[in-house]
Amino acid sequence: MSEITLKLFASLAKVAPENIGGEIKKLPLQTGDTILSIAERANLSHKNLHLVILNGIYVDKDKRAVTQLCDGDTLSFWPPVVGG
Amino acid sequence: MSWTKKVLRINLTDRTSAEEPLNMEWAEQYLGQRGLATRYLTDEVDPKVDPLSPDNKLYMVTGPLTGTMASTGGRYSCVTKSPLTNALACSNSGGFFGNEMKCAGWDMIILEGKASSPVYISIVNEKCEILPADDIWGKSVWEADEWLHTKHQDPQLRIAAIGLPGEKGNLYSAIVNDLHRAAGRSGVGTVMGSKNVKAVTLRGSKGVGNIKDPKRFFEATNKAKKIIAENEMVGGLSALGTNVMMNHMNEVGALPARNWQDSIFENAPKLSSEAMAVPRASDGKPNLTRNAGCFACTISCGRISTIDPEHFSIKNREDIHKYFKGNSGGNEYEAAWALGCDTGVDDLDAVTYANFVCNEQALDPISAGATIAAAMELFELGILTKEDTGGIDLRFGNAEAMVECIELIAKHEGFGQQLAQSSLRFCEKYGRPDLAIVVKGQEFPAYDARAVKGMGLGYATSNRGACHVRGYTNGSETAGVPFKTDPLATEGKAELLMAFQDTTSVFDSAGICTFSSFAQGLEEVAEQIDAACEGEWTAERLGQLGERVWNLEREFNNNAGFTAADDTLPPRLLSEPIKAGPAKGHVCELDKMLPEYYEIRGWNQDGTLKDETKQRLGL
Repeated sequence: MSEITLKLFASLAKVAPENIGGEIKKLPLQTGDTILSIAERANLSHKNLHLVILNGIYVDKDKRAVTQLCDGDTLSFWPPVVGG
Repeated sequence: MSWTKKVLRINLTDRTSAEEPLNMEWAEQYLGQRGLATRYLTDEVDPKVDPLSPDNKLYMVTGPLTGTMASTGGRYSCVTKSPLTNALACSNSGGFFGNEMKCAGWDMIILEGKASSPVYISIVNEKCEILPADDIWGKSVWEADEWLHTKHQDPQLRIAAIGLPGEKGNLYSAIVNDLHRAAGRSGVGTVMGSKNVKAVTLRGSKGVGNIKDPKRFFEATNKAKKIIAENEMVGGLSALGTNVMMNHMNEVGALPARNWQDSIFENAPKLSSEAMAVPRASDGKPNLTRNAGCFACTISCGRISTIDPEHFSIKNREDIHKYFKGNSGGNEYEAAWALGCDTGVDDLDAVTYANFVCNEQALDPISAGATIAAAMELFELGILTKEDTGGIDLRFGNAEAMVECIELIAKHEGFGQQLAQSSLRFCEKYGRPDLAIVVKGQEFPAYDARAVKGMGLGYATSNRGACHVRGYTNGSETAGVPFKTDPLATEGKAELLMAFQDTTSVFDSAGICTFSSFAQGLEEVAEQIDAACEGEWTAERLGQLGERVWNLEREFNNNAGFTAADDTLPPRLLSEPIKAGPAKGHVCELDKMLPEYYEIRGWNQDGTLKDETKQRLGL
């Protein structure tokens, strides 16, 4: 079965020892799954999708509804974060 | 108004002090804090002065919003010529020292000359005394703080002090106020030490009541506070602190590791904000105790943390200050990165301990960590041996070695005396200056310029040497603030950087924190200044003021002997491609960005300001 790795960071992840590098979930991939459909299945509101990184590369907002995922992809979601 | 319009000038050589009026013509052109003190510096100090000679001056300065109810209005800056870079130094700190200076009735304190023996300066409103500091000379900031509070019997005394390294000429000594807030970069503490000044203590009871239009100011500050409170990014800073960037920068492949040999640190999560919040096995407490805010701050990004009582750095040790077994400030992202990722150390408690040492002895943790990292690379190459290190096995990732180095730097003993000379001088000594990851002699912060290219242009052109808070294009490039740009692209970065640099210059001159710029813009700042200060202040006027400040700093550096050739990056950043991750194969193509940057800045090809630029900005 095809699956992706979903990583949730900062306030999207629960604080737990296993989550210090982001909360990691394996999700089965369904036919036609896009970034936004995965976000909906993970119960993430769109306002939390400030940064979407697919295999290390940022995905623009207007491409998230049409970017289809493949077996083995790593998809990372971030709320708005800054620092310095 | 809002300015107190008073400057306290202290001549250490003569041990005299005098009140003088603030130059209001300059205040209108440069606002306050960073800009205003730079204007004084350029007028009063020869750009070619030896930074550690009595002829250099140290300006401790507030902005017009410092001490007011404006959110984050607790900032002050230390401006001088840097012994680390020989360029202009301007280091900014929060805490409660800046507002106390304002409440004592001063916009700025100028330290000039050199005392013949160690002194500290006691300021209580108008009264200024230059007092002997023999009892605290050689002591840490924490010890000096305790002694001064006890001597003056005033728990509300605000103190800015240097540690032992600043007395001994360590080139990256900071000035620490309120125990763990630092004017950290460029060796401003070294300048204070060279003047035989251990500390400045402040007590003010005047308040800051000279607001032009109190009702409008109240409305303007409330509006800005609402914008800040509702901004989700700022909310993340409150919850997770600056170290929220650790995992983020690692995920986007821009977290330098092992003296910038790598751009991903495999164990970065162990040092992250998330890790700081996880209860540990030994005592069930997390590293993070709570967050902390500076005066008038509605963000509170600061962290207060503890070290695991079972950790080797503090267990069974009676020789360390009691605060090591309690709380101190940190870890901030930059300190955690420099003392951790850059040295390859993934031990959160070791990094916390080293950061506490930097608080205790007023050291810049970025330069300290980066210098140790450079030494580690020399050691692994076999250029540096155990004979040189005094027996320390200085391999990357060796937490005990990192801790031993930071202790030696703090004591200014043995191998620590070599490390105190900063990474460039240290690497030059061993014949490999290319391994010093510096611009103009100042060590880099935690964003790989090969993977975030606007930051590379920012490091190269920063007026105080490599720095992230002079133009934080990373906000746009990887975090999407205020809008997302491609971190790997060079197109458009010159314009983006200039906008960030000029805007930051305004925040740094106003008395407020640059972190508030993630939410509020120049419009909101202008409304607050216009309500507080005489004259008419608009966003447009502030934008030009920021550009003026930037160019004045540049002019000082040019007159100090810097040229276009100094606007560069270390060879590693220009020619060694990133090995893995999203930016694999990339270097920082500075040559594609720099000419455009000079053009839009209105500079000549040799890096000097064009006459029309000077004329336009009134320089």
